[in-house]
Amino acid sequence: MKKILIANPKGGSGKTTLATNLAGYFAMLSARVVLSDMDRQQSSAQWLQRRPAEAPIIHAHNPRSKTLSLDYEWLITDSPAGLREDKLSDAVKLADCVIVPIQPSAFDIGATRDFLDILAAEKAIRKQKTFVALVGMRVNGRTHSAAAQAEFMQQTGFPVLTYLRNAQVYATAAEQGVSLFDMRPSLVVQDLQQWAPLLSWVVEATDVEE
Amino acid sequence: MLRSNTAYQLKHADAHSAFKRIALECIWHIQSNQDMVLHDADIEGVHRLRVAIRRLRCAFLVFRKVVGKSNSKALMDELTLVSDVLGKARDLDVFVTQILPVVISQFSHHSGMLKLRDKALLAQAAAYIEVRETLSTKRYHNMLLTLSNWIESKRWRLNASGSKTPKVQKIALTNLNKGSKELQLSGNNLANMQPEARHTARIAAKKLRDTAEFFCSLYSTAKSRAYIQNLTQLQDCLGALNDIAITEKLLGKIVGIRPSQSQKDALNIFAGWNAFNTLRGNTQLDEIWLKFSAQKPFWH
Repeated sequence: MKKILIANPKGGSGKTTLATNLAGYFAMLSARVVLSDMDRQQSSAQWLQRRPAEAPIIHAHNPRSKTLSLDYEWLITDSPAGLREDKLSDAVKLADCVIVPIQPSAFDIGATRDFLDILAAEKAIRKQKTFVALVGMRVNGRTHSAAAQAEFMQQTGFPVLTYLRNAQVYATAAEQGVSLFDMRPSLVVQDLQQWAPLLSWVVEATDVEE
Repeated sequence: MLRSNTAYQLKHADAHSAFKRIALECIWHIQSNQDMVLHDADIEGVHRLRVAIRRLRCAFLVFRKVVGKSNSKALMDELTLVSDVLGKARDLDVFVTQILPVVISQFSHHSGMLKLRDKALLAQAAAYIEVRETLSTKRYHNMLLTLSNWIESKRWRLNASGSKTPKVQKIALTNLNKGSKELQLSGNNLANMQPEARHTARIAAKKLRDTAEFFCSLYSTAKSRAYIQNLTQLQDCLGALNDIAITEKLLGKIVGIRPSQSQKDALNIFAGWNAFNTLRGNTQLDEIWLKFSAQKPFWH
């Protein structure tokens, strides 16, 4: 019963990419995984609809329509962009850990900063050290904006787990309803390496609870 | 969870891969609902798992020319066994959650009625234990593995007769025509039928709906959607009437051979309630049947 929240009030920051791939990872380990989509756009839910029948099963859940009664091992929640502050902090309170995806764009930073303040307040209440972490999304290492993104992330005081590159495999995976972990390994070698620190952090962070 | 029919995109598929795609989708349904049955309090799990098994059996039937009947007989028998166990639980679910609450709200102090409710709840719990045991047996998991392996490797191709494989379009047309003819034949004079005869019509409706959903990607979306919607309505109405017929049988089993006087009274209350609902259902059925049989098939 481990709950992971993927959140950032800024739209297009890569929440669905993180949520779907994380769900795909635990499903590959044959855990009982529920992917909960709070978003009106239901893009995680649509990804599940496209998921091929051969891929490991991920259960869908729409918290707007029904309360969850399935006894899961992993619950991964994809939160919508522009979620109101109080709702967002409710969701944060329920989660075992929170992952915040951050994109290299100056426009990202304002809304994200307010949200990180909420997270900092919640973190102060909790004793556990590992609770919130950041992930740099769609990074092209050679650009100026990437450097600005890295600097911003370092300043927040939260651990920065990894930087995920901007690669075609993510688009392909999204389109086909699969995760990186369902694809031919040779296609995603570099990306799996980038995911490794994130995955081990999640396992560690959620282990504290039990 | 039911997925949208975009899952079955068969336009450019040959018959072998079309069957494979449909069957894998059904197995996916079975496995995702099996989790619901084993780890969820929601009764929908049993229902959907049963639907998933039914669809898979229908897929084997529809593609019998491709797959060959003798090849799949053993697998189908195993599926039937599971389905029967689920059926028992489902019947009790329907009674306990849909029929009983309406009646008992009017007779909340009737001792026979309360006794009957307790017995029904016990029977439901026992049925669920059996379901969960069945889904945890080696035999069940062996069946799923064999099935997946069989489908993944397209093993039926080895044993299939040497004749040419028919096109998906041809298979769709034959089965849709056959299915709708069967339903039309069994559906005439529906409302005045005996429950057993209505049961045949209900099975024909289910078969036609599964077939229509398998193949609707080959035809116009708007037309097929409207048709399936009407068919679903018909199926629901027939289903409700069937639930009443099942309740009558179920009640006898629940109270046992020598019910007390108060339980006999409760049975009589149900008999009246069922008679009323059958009458009401039949009136609705007439309307729905007229609407359904007036529309043109979407595959023409």
